[in-house]
Amino acid sequence: MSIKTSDLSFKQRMRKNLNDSFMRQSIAAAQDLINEKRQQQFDELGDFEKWRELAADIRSHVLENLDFYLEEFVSNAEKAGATVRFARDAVEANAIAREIFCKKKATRAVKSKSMVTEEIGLNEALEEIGVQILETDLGEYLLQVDDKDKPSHIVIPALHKDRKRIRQVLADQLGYDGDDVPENMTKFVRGILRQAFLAADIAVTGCNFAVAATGTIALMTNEGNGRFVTTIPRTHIVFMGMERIVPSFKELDIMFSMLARSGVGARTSVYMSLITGPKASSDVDGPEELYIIIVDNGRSAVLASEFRDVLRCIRCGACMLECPAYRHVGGHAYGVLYPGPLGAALVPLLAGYKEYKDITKICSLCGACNDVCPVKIPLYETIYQHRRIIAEREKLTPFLEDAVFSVYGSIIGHSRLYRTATSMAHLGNMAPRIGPLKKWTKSREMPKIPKKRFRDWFADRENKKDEK
Amino acid sequence: MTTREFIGTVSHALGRSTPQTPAPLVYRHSVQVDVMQEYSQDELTTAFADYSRIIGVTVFMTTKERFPTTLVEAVKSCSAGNIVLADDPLLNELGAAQALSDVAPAQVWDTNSTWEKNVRLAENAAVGIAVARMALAESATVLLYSHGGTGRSVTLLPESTIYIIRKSMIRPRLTQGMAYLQDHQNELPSSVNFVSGPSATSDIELVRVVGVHGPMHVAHIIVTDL
Repeated sequence: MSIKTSDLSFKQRMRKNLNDSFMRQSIAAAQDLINEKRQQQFDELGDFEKWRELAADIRSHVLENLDFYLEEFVSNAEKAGATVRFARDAVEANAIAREIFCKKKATRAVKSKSMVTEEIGLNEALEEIGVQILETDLGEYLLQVDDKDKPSHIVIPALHKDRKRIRQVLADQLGYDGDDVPENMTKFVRGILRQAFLAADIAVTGCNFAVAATGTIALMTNEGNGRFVTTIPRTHIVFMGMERIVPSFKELDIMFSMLARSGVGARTSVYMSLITGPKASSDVDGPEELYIIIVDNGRSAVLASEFRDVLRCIRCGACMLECPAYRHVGGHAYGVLYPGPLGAALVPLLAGYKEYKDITKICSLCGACNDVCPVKIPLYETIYQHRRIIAEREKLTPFLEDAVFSVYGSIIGHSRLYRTATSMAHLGNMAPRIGPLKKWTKSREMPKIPKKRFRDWFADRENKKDEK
Repeated sequence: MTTREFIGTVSHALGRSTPQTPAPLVYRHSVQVDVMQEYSQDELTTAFADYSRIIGVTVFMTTKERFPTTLVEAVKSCSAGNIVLADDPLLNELGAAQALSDVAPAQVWDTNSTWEKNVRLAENAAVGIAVARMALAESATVLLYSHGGTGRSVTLLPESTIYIIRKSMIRPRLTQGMAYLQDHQNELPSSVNFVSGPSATSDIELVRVVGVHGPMHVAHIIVTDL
């Protein structure tokens, strides 16, 4: 995968997803359930506003001093025995990974869910050189065996699939002959993945946070795959987005407390694994080699831009679970790896306005995302600003839209034209029956424009008063 | 790309040529240290035990003296089969291996043996037993150093895990767990885990299922006079 996850056009994606009633019901149910749990967790914890101010302060502090903390992290990770490599973009990151796989003559890899590896298209890059890379997060695994289907949420990737579909896929692809009860299907997958873990040469993980003071990688999982991949394979490769840093364990406390609650509405995730270097000589199990590949892939440009705050994101997915637009169209409608308000704010920055201008439209600027973001990213303001840039600086709006607004601009900027146009506006009452508004008004009412302008009505009224 | 080139790009993005020492990070609030601050050790223990039960963990309270009997009871509550014990001085002191000798074949993780033998030992065991460094009341989490005699596999491969917890080491929340790591950051093992209950997923229709990759069943034995 890469940032782009669909070749369909914006309209095609919308049509397809709006017609997928199961997906829409699932998304709505997931939103309601997790939002309620999240709310409950933060109510119990108390002082949500103070917690997220702390979290936002920490993330801003790190971003303002990212060069310093990265240098500290690298130095400490190397002291602990890790090999740190750097990648400017996806091509470089994949090349480093391939080089390690070739050096180790490795052909089997297990991966714990990682957004940055999806962003750079790691699976495809490794498959091209004959490596079998297996997703071990249950949701990601179910997508992978279903002909590499794409995730629809960053925390719950298979949200759009129901148990019947999953049973069918497991039966067709892996010979499963049980029922569609989640417990039984999970147990079946457990058996398959257990063998894969034990046979894998290399483990690939992402990195939720990296502790600068100790060179530690923090991985959060509920299933335990994060622990598994860092226990059995002899080589561990970590892919880390360069902004994942926290200064010390003190800050990791705040960030983790917010991530678990915001992500799935839980007090904690089942596991947080803290990996500092490869195993020591006195340890029996654990990787003998640890590689950390730090990836830029557009982040330094975002850091230098007016949109630095977007890099505070800790990938909890709360914004998409709160978003009314996401609720209706679902994750696939965005056609990108990061859906929802985060996607609309981040993807145009990482991958350009030209190709990704349309996703900024999947937003009503209601601001619900801002209210739940645990690191206080000004999401809807960012999306609004993108729209301005798309129209004013990049000039990427469609010709017709541009022409309409240019005519509109001349009319309201010229008093005589304005008067003439507003006196004739009532002719627009016919618009819903003809022309481009016909589709739009299929399910909406256009307000009727009166024949007399308000200004004329008011002037007449004042004149009549004077006459009296 | 070298470290210098990469860091240089980041410095450049921040409008400078080289990294500069940051001004201290000021905490505007202290909400994290306020949680359960007024709790006594007994209250923390009760909170830890209560939340453990909520997340599906079986809880046992015991004393050093009664520990062998409690351990047998705990093992019987788990999946039947072989047992793998961490090589931990506390388990020796409490007589864990002897207590289990009549219950099931119990073997200790052996740092002098090979990777293959140890991993096979854990893979074939139904129960793994280890000692927690600390426990956190708010989320029923144990802090585990997975190194040396407590191999990573001991608490991961068997279907059940039993954690031994010193009552005196039950603290309010992650804040204290992280402070502990910060205080000991110079002797940090390569793998530290915070573990809260059995392995779980909600990836199929948001239905919670336990035991995806790690243990399906977890027991906490709290030793009240430790």
